[in-house]
Amino acid sequence: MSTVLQARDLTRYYDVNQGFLKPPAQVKALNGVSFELQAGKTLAVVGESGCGKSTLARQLTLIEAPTSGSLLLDGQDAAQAGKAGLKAMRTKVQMVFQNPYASLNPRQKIGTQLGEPLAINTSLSSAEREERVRAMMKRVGLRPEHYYRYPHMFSGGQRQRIAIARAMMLNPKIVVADEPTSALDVSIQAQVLNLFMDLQDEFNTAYVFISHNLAVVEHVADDLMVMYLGRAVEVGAKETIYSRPLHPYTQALLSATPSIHPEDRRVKIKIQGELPSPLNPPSGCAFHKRCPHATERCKSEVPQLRELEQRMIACHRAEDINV
Amino acid sequence: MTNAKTTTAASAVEDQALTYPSPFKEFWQGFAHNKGAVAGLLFMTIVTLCAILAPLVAPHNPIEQFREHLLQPPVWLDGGSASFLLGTDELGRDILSRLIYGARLSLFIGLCSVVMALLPGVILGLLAAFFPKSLGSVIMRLMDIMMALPSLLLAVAIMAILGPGLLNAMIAIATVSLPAYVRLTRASAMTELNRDYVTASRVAGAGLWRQMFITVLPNCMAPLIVHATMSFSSAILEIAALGFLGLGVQPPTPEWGTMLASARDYIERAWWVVSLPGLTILLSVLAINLMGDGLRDALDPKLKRAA
Repeated sequence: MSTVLQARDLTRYYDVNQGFLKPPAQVKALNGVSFELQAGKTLAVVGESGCGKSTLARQLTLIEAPTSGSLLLDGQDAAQAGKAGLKAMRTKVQMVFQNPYASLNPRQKIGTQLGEPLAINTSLSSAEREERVRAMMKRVGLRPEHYYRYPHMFSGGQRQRIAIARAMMLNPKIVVADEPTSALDVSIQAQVLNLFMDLQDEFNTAYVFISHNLAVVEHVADDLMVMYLGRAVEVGAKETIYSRPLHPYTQALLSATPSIHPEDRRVKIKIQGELPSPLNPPSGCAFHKRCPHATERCKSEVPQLRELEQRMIACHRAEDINV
Repeated sequence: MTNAKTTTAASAVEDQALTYPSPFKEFWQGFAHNKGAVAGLLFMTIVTLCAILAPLVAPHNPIEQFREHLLQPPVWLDGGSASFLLGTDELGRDILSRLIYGARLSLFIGLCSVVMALLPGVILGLLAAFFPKSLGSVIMRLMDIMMALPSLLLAVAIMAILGPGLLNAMIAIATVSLPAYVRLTRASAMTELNRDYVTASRVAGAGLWRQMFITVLPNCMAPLIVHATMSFSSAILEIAALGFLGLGVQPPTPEWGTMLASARDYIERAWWVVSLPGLTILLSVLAINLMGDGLRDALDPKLKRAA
């Protein structure tokens, strides 16, 4: 098995203007995230709104350069690649967006939009492009006559299929999916997820699947990364974490998943308060203000990711609270 | 043999269902759907044909003065004659001929100053939207300065630098109307830039030019088309104002705006001298605006019915 993506201590800080005569502040949207992704596997990234999931997606798709840290795509360092190198690397990572209504150009026909990545990155003739586009349309379950239609003529589910087809056109190594099903009807979500998984089997693509729907994550993921305020708090195989979450935040998240079967229901762990502002993060462990197990140590010392029970976890008290 | 024929026939029918009309035909279908736009197009075609074929269509020489027919009313009023269908002006020149010849210059001026403002305006606006911090702020401050000056004053100042003449007058008018195009383009491009489809094309590897002109610009066209058709008319009127100050079209040359400006003294005695050029400008502007509306709708895929 080969590693297609390796992130080491990725950080991304944004400078924000606080107004006249005030010094600009720094938002630490991504604060040291490391992980690895294997070919043909799915890494799910979960966390509440504002924890840096979408910032992570922007770094992975090379739209933005990280403030620090390194990103190895297929063994190549993105920071060291020149302009031409970056262009070649871009074709290896593609993205599927959350809102299928905004992610397709309203003025371009579907055929043109799907052919665009080929037109930019390959020297295929227009007839060859059309052939490839039609093959991909068939693969994702669109009819041939859709080739000449405009995006507004499609339903949300169909649009998301088109968006997936566009991401797969260049046969990328990695697809970053930023909450691809959250804007869809529940009845369509399963279809789209199954399409994702079928395509993964066929093309051996690795997915970074960003979601806050834990049921969806349980369905698609191989590995799981739980994020809180720009940091990973627990990383490991899906089964390990779902069966025995160790970090108090993960425990709270998983206990919040509703279940139809009474025997599957967990005791709800309520966490108090809101996600703190990334402009002014708490000292020490970012979660300590909401954590029921917080001690003095948590307030002063930032916990590092360490290995515990076949996973990586960032919590000082993981052993004490999970006895 | 028959069997083969039926299969080809069947696949031909299938092909027909799968092929779509050519882009032009598709555009025309959308355009023809709008009756007003077709009427506007028809009117403008007639005016343009008259302008091109002016020597054949016009009954008289536009600058010939018939001294015995000063301020003669149109044919349907008392004292009118069939040889001057729309009457004559203060120097005895045939108004119909002057309108026909004037169409040449007026349409040319309108078209040129719109194009001369539209192209640089769109490019500057897109650059300002794509580089909001560096290039954008410089461009926008420049445009603010231009907007702060009264437009006619600015046009006169430009004419003073460039010298009088038709081309310079068009340059002056185009420069004065530039800020509006830049602002419009920048504003709509900024909203489009935040949409996911622009990010998607960036992820697909689209370069700057492709993003600007293929991805973003077509989505900003609606307000631009409307504004361009509106400024067509104001260009005709502004060139008349410049001509009035002796900076634009020089007197004997027939031109709608100049005709309007020079006839204002006679508005009480001979209404037709000022009304007819005014009516011509009004109708042309209306026709162009209707066309612009139709154009905008025909180019908007959302208004097309699913085929």
